[in-house]
Amino acid sequence: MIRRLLRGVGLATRGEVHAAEAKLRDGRARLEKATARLAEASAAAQRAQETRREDARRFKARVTELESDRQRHADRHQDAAARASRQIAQLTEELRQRDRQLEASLRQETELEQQVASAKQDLETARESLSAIEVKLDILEGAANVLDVRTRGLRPSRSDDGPG
Amino acid sequence: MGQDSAPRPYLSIVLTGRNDGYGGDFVKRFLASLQFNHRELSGRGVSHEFVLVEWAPVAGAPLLADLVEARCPPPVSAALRTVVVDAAYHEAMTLNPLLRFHEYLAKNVGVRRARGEYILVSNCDVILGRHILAQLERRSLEPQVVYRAPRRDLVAALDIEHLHWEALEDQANLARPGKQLRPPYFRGSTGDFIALDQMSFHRLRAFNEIYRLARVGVDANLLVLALSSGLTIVDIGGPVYHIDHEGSFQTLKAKYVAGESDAQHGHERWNFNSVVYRNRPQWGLSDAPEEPRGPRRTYLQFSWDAVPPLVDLSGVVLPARREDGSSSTSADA
Repeated sequence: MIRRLLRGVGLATRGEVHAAEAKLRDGRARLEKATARLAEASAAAQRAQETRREDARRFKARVTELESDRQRHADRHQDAAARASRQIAQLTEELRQRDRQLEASLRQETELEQQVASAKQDLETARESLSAIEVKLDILEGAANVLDVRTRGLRPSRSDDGPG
Repeated sequence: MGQDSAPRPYLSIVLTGRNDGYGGDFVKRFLASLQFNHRELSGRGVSHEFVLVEWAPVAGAPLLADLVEARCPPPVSAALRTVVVDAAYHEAMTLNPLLRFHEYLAKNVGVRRARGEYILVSNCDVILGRHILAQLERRSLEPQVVYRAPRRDLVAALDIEHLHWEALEDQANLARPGKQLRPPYFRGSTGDFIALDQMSFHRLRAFNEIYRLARVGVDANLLVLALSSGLTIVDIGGPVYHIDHEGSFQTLKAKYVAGESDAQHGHERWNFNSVVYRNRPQWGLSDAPEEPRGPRRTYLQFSWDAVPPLVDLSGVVLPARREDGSSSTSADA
């Protein structure tokens, strides 16, 4: 009854006040905890954001670096390709030149072979002619010997030489 | 020459010799092979004549022709014609005073006068083998083909007067291993067997009469000429037989090996493989005056008109090369 009366005038009992104070303390404590957790969460979020920003920076830097590498490689490859093209052109030209030289050598070789064949033919002809000349010389030598014998046979004997 | 009206035989066998005791008892060996060959040819129905050219008979000695005819049975004598060549031809024609017998000039005399469809140039002591006789019996020789036959030398101890096939064909009687003839020339004892149709023999103008310094190589020289003139040379397929004797080329070759210039066969190493010849149209002493001395004998009297020039260098000819690398006679050397 007293409590009801006090409530009616807007007062509360000590117990109620104590209970209310306790609830208030709990509330404050929860609030402080929540505030602390919020602060922690904010800090964590801040840190996470910082981390993401840092990651983004690193990523960007890495991308930039890779892009640079790629460009460098591309440039290098382009240079190499250009050099290779120049070398190919040069080699192609050298090859053509060698082909021309080879053709010239082959022509020269063919000419030399023809000259050798012709020389062999000449040699064979010369040998044959020499054989024929040897035969002719044999005949002439034989004839000379025979005529020599005949001439000696015709020589007058000493008694035919005349007086004295 | 006599017997011109007689039927033309299928085969003339041209032989040369004289009574100079060549190789011991030459007449005995000649008679033995003559009778054997005649018997075998007649037995096979091969019409034939033997043309014996007695070249430069030895002065003061009986003629070989007389000795042979005196000892020959009549059927053999009937098939034998002899041409005796005045010894002055040898003296007038030779270019080698050491050469006592110009075998191939003598053979040309026989070839020129042989009447057979085919002419076999051989030697007096050569015996025809069975395979050759069979070919002749079949008349299977072809024109423009030079037939060659390898020679089998038989031991001197063989009884030549009683020849029979068993003795000839007995390997134990071989004096030395027989040589195989090899293309293109089929050379080897060539003078013992060269058979060719008469027309081709005349077209070639027979053996070399330009190079009159040797006996050796003249036969092979004909083969070079024949091949280069487009004729074919073949081995007839069977051998001839020859009985060893003193003075054969085989034995003389060893004797004169140290001094070739003294060899009675003349130069051995002249260029008979690479140089050929073109005889005069009067080859074989065709212009020599012929004096008949009996029904089957002719004597060639000496006449300077019949003697070829001592030197005829235009007759020394090179075989012209053909596309295939072989050769044919053409240009003057």
